[in-house]
Amino acid sequence: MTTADSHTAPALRKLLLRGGSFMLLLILLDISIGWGLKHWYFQQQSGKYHRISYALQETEAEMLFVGTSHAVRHFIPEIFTDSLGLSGYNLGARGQHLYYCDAMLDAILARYTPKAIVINIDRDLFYAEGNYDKLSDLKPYYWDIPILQAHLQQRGPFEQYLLCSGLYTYNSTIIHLLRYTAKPQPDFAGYLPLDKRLPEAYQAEKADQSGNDFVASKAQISLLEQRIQQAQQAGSKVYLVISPIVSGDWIRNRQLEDMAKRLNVPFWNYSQDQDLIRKNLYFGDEIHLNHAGAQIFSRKVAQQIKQYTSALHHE
Amino acid sequence: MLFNSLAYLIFFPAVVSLFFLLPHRFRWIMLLGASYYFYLSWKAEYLVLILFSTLLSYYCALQIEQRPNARKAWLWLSILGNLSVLFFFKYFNFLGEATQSLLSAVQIDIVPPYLDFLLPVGISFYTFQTLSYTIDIYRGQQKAERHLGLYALYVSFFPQLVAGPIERSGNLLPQFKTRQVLRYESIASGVQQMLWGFFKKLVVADRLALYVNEIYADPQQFSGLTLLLATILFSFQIYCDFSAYSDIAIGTARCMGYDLMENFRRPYFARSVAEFWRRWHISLSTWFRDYLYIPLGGNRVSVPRWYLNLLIVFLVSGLWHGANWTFVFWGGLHALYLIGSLLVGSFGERFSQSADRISHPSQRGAGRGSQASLLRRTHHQSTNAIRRYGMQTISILFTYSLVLFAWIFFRAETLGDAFYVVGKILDFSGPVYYQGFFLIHLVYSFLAIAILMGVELYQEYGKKFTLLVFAGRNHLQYAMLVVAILLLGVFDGGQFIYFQF
Repeated sequence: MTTADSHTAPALRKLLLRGGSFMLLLILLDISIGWGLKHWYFQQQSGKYHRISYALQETEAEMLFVGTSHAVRHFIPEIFTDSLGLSGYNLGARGQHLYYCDAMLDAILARYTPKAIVINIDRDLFYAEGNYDKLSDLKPYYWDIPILQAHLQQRGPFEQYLLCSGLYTYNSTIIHLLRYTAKPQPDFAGYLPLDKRLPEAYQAEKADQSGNDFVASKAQISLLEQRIQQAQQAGSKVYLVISPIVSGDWIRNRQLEDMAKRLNVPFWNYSQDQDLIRKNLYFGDEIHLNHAGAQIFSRKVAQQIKQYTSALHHE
Repeated sequence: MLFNSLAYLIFFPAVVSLFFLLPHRFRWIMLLGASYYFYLSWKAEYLVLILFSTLLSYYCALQIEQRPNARKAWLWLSILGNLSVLFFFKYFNFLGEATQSLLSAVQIDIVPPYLDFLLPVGISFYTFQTLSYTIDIYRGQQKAERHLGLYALYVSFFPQLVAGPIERSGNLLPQFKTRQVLRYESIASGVQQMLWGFFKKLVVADRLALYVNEIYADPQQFSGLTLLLATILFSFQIYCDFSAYSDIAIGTARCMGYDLMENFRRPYFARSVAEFWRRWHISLSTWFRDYLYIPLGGNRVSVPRWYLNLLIVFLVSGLWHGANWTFVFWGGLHALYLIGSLLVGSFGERFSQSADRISHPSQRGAGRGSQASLLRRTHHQSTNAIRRYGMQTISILFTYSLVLFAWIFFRAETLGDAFYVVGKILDFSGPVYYQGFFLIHLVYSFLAIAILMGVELYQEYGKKFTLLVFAGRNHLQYAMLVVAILLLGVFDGGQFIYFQF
């Protein structure tokens, strides 16, 4: 036996022993910290995670509002309830895109059938094609809501194995958990009011009135189309709405308009609404209505739905 | 294959296990195969370029040794052959655009041909490695390697193939010939360094990237303070991104018993720009020193020529980073910093010497041995210590500010964007952008930077900080680092910035 060989066996034994005990410690930490985080996560009484949990597991609202930050800032369920007599919940999520909205709708439609679904259409919804990273908000539900598994597995080939780790499952949740534990967020059936307004002196940029289609890929439109069809087949009425932004840009996409016609889905474009655009009073920032603006907008959409449904009844 | 991918977490232990299972004489074959597989996983076609570079430099080195009369010709063949590949893939379009701009200024319109292909990953790194090898052979500092397989492994050794450290043959080749023995300490220390690298990449760099990329994608949309914040965050992003790669590379190699050179030494604690370059990308800085600066004459020439040498080295260094005027400007700026510090330095030295002469007479006048003089001396020493630390802190902050300013040019997409950012930052206009989920990213970013700087501060001024020693009682500390990575890291498989170079 050479000197090198005589070194190898003890080194290997030491490596296996210490490496093994290190792995064991890591597994224990993962299980215990993961368990603690899971408990903390599902105990949330307000904030982002509470809203996701409520939407996925509890709500039986008759009317759902779906979309990005525009949806969550612009649709006040209470106004729709008063106007249409339907209970509502806003599933909109800041910084999210189509894949998240699609997964949420898929999971909810598997649980129950809402009477109406309003989907806010905007550029952000179709942003980052093929980027499934933002589905990470749904990781904590991977094992409890099996229908989400196919969605989350699009994040990568190893996702299902990674989600065996409690730490990975609750990755990047800690600041939110701290934030909403320390300062609970008022709940308005998912709606998040923006309680500020653009300064009077703010001059919005010149509106883009070209009417050019915003970017939305065929694959994304097809995904949305499939989900709308699923909702329609289940018995939900689907409405598509485009919200205004302060500059008054003409926001449109002809392929989406064609899809809406094909599916017989009402598609209302408020991007040119003269009661709201270029009125700093109704905007919290350049692209989001504030609470005052959201009230006006929600009433308008509720009224339009009312007119539409009564017209249908008369037919 | 990315270091921060799950594929690598399978590849790495598999290669290390195979390495120690195989007899020494077969290990190079396995490592070479693993290295080529590692590279093939990006774009198979570009393996041809590595093979070309390897064979050319291998053959030329042998000829340099065997044909003393034609050694210069063989050296130039190797240099030009390797540089022409680098030029073709990296600088062809840049040169075309530069020529077009130049000619359009004199009313001559041309449309240069445009080559539409991706820059081969790591080409700048392995080209420099092959160049240093042939130059070392030419200088007689190294013997030409006869074993083609070992030489090919030197060029393509997977831990440092795509983003360095740029190794010297004198360091790496003899290690490949030495029989490496499995040592617990090497593996522990290697894994430790890799984990620290993963922390820097996943927890710091990739988190900061989320904010920085958003702001620098369209700087015109943001206020001066937002641009300043994004630039500060970028300074940590680029450091953590790049040094993380080096940490993982060095750690991986160390697990197999190979020592790669240190590439970063807490650069933001540098007290001068010259010191910054002794701490930042050390393998590249020393490469330029040995193969460009010294051949140009270094500082053993007239003062104006010395300054010119510095300017040339830093302009070339800038160009090495990327085929864009922003990088050239970044390099030029660092050259100006160095030249400026040399000019100011001689004046500063005279100033401090005269200040010392002013303060010493009063000390000499004090009586020796008395209690009063002892108190005065103690007071004087503590005042000096405070002054020294104060001056050190000011020097560190001043150097960081200069480096930070230069990073604007490194990060901006165009020179126009860079100058826009500079102008906007200087008016300190607000407010800082932290809309929506960016606020959360900023909180995570500051937390990550605080941990990073805490560790580096301890490494710089405290005792040697063996971050989380992979042994007995320190298991918990080490495990907590993994916990931090899993809990705070960004797992979107983001590329390392230096891959583009």
